Amino acid sequence: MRHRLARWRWLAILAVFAMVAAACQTEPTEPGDTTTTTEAPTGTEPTETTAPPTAEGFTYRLAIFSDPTTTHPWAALDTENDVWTNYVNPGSGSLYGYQPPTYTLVPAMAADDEPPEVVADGDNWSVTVTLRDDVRWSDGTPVTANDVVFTFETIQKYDGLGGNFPSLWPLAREDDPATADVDESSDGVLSVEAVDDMTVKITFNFEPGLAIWPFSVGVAPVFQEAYWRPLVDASDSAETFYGNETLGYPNTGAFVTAEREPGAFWRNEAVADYWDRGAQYTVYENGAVEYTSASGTSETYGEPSGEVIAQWTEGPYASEALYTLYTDQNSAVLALTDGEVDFLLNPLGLQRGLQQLVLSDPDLNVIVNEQNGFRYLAFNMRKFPMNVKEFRQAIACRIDKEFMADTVLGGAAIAANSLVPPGNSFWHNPDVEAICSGLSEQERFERAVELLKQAGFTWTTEPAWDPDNLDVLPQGEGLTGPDGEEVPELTLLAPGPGYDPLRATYSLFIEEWANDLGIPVRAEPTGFSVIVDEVFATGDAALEWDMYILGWGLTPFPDHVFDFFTTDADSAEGGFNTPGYSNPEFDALAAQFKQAKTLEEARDLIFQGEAIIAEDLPYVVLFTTPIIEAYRNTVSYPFTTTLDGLQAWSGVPSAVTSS
Amino acid sequence: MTRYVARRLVQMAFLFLVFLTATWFLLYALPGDIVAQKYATNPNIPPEARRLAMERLGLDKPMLVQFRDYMVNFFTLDFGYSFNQYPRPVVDIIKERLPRTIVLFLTAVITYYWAGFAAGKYLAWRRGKRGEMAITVGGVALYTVFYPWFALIMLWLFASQLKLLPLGKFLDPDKWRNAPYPANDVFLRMFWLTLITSVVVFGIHLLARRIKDRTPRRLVAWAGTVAAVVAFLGYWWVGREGAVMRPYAADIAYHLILPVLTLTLVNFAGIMLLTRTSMLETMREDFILTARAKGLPEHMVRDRHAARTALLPVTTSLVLAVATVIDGGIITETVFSWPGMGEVLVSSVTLGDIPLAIASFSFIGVMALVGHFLVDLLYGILDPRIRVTAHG
Repeated sequence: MRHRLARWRWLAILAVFAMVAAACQTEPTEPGDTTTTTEAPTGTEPTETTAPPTAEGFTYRLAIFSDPTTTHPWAALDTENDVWTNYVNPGSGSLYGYQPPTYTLVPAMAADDEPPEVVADGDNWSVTVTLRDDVRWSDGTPVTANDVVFTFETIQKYDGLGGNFPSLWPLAREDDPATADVDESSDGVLSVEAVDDMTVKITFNFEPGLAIWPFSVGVAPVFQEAYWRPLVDASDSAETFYGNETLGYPNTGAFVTAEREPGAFWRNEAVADYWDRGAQYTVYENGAVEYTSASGTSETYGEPSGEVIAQWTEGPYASEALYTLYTDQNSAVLALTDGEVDFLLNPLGLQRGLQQLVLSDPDLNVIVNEQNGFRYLAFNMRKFPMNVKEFRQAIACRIDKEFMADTVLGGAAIAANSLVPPGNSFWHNPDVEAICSGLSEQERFERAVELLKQAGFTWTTEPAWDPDNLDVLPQGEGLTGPDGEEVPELTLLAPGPGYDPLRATYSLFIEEWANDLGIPVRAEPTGFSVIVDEVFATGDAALEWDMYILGWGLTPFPDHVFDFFTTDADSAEGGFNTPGYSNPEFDALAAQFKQAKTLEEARDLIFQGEAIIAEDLPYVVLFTTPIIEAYRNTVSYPFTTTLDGLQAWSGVPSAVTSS
Repeated sequence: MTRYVARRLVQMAFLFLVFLTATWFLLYALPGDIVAQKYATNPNIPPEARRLAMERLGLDKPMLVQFRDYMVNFFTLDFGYSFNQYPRPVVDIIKERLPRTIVLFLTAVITYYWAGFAAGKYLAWRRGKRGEMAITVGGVALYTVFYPWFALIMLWLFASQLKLLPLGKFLDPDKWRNAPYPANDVFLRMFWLTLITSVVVFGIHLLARRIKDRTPRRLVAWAGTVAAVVAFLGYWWVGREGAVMRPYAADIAYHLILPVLTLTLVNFAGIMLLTRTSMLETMREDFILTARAKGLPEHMVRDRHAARTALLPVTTSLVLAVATVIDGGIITETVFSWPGMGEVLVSSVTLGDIPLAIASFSFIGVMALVGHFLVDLLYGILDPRIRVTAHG
């Protein structure tokens, strides 16, 4: 009896499993089970153009590593500003935009090839922009000047909003009477008016330079009035406004948001009658772009020279972009090798450990690009001895970046000297040289000692180079400054090895090199948030740290060269100038930069500014890292060489083709 | 008994208050507030935007004012907004994550407790045999394996190489395209239906025990169980909503197999050893000798007499495990791409999202306190000696 019962038990269990398995086999007629397999026309190789693609296409599958938090594009620029949300949100549209793969500024909604110049307008300054008449929202309606006016008025209604909005759409405010003549935070856009349906006039309460027009307001988002007006009218506060579910909101891009399953996936659908579908783009080595619109009108932005680096016909070729969440990079790479996804979207690219796995798969392509960013060593110049230029130079001189990048870090880092990476070719200054560049270790040591002596530093035991051991022996001891003040023990904060082994390793070498000179530096690997907390502290707390290593991710327009170092941006007052660097000559250049009207003028000022920073060394730029990405050979891209990799263009969904 | 319960409830309330206060101050003391972490390192976000963010989140107020406001709001059941996903209420985030976590970890806990108990019972009975050695060595090896590595190996083997099971995630996006229900609705439906069915089956078995004759007792128990299971399956096949939801529920169930299998393989050995030890102690008791002397079959002595008594520590351990199931597990959730409460806890703490972290910890704290309270009561019910002592 018992054995019979046991058999029945097993049968019952098997039956349940069988039923579950049967349930897993969904019938083809079930809703949501239709997988589009029709492929888009192929032949959009980088050096060819093709006929306009049809609306039918394949599913472009991308892996993401964190859950996007909102479908609301306004919130994505403000309170819910994170890279994952911005990858999947198609955005809205802007007057001007950056052209892949070179980041050249080109017209988007605007008609003028070059951004119009700002002109004096009574007590104010204004710019009048004509809109293209062929740009359409994804619902088929044309973009008009009223959409730009509405966007500005909404930002005004919510008092400027937060996050990225104040830098994209800075609002003009009343000057603080106490600081009226120097209060730059009151500078901004005074009004936006629709001159007619296709012409918009933007008025500033100050004379803006390139950093504001066109590189802020020109690339700022513009939202469709018809869709957003009812939501704005019904919301008294930004909080209420952001609470709206806005899947499918109209935008001027090739995709609209279609579906979101929190914690699992996000799906965007191709716009069936995308206004730019079939447009042809040819991008030259120098960043110039030849553009032929879908209607056949041709424009050239810049003076083409050098080789064609990318050429394609705009899609979208994919009927949808499906973003699947994998919270672990290992499983995402397995998904890539198994063909579950075509591309991994990750701002940091692939871990080096996974690179081999990807390289060994013949179905995968690996691309390596430079990151638009750098890691750096910063000195707290508010304190002795970091306030002595020769002291900073001596430490910088001892740092052999090539040795670190190539030998110690095994190629995981690329030695860097400039505040603008070489990949940002227009703005990069190739003449910025690291102090002591090209010297041997002995020469570096001797030059560093010489610099310290020049500044009046002395030792109780002076360090010396031991030619027999090819090392510093003895190490310096009892280092005293020019005023007889003994150099105290200094702390070098750096992210721990768990967070970033490259910076942690670098900090240990800097500690050793400084100790050789008799500078009592102690590397302290710690949490990223601990460092951020300390170095961005305001008031007297800004005096508490000595040196640190962190990094910056950058934007194509390199205004950071000035924003990081001007006196009025001192982090003790809430700005980004963490070293507390103050140099009137540099501040004057920064002021000129803010007023610069041409790219050439701005570039010249950037180059001059960089030269000063390379000499004064509030920062020592250490290295940048390559970004390694992989994609399946089932898809192909019109370009693969671009600063920050394909992830910077969200995986190029509007031009990726099925191969 | 009533006085005991009342005293325990007062103690729990006080302990919860201490827990909440300590959690708030510990989180507040963490370096780096969320505004600094999100905004200070982004040069596109100007200082005025950072100041606005501080004001919005109330972080510009003195610490004690923030604490007072939080406690007042908390006890009026306003858990506030998430700092990281502002202006989303933290309750919304917990509601989104909790069903996934409960379904995965409750299934896993029940499975590995069942497997551990069954294996422990077998080991104690087959002491000294080859089987004992094999299961003990295997179980302990799995128990001590480096879990993240093992989980990845399981993924690689079953999903990537054998292609028997899905590669992480809790659903297949292709099957869920334009699904008529959000995944959470399906998770909740699965949870409640399974719970109701289990309670019904448990009730039927309790009722059946009152029948003295063996054959009708078994018949009632099995017929009742089959009826409950048929009703459960009938809902999914015949019910109007159930039939539509079924493919989605099945997809979730399919995605559940690998993480549950992995958790079971790693965790069952702990329960197995606990059961084994408890069984070995029980088997030395006089009543086991008496049962054998009465000539009862071995399986009856093992299952009815020894195993039931040995169940006591396992049951208390199970109640505590169930009570803490809602905190999920960050490694499991990460490797199997199953974002749940574990991920919420870790990210909210590392980002300094204090309202979300405290609300999550509070849920866990309440469940743990209730769990301990239930264990105390269960001891009294399951072990007559404790009840006698309580009455003094």
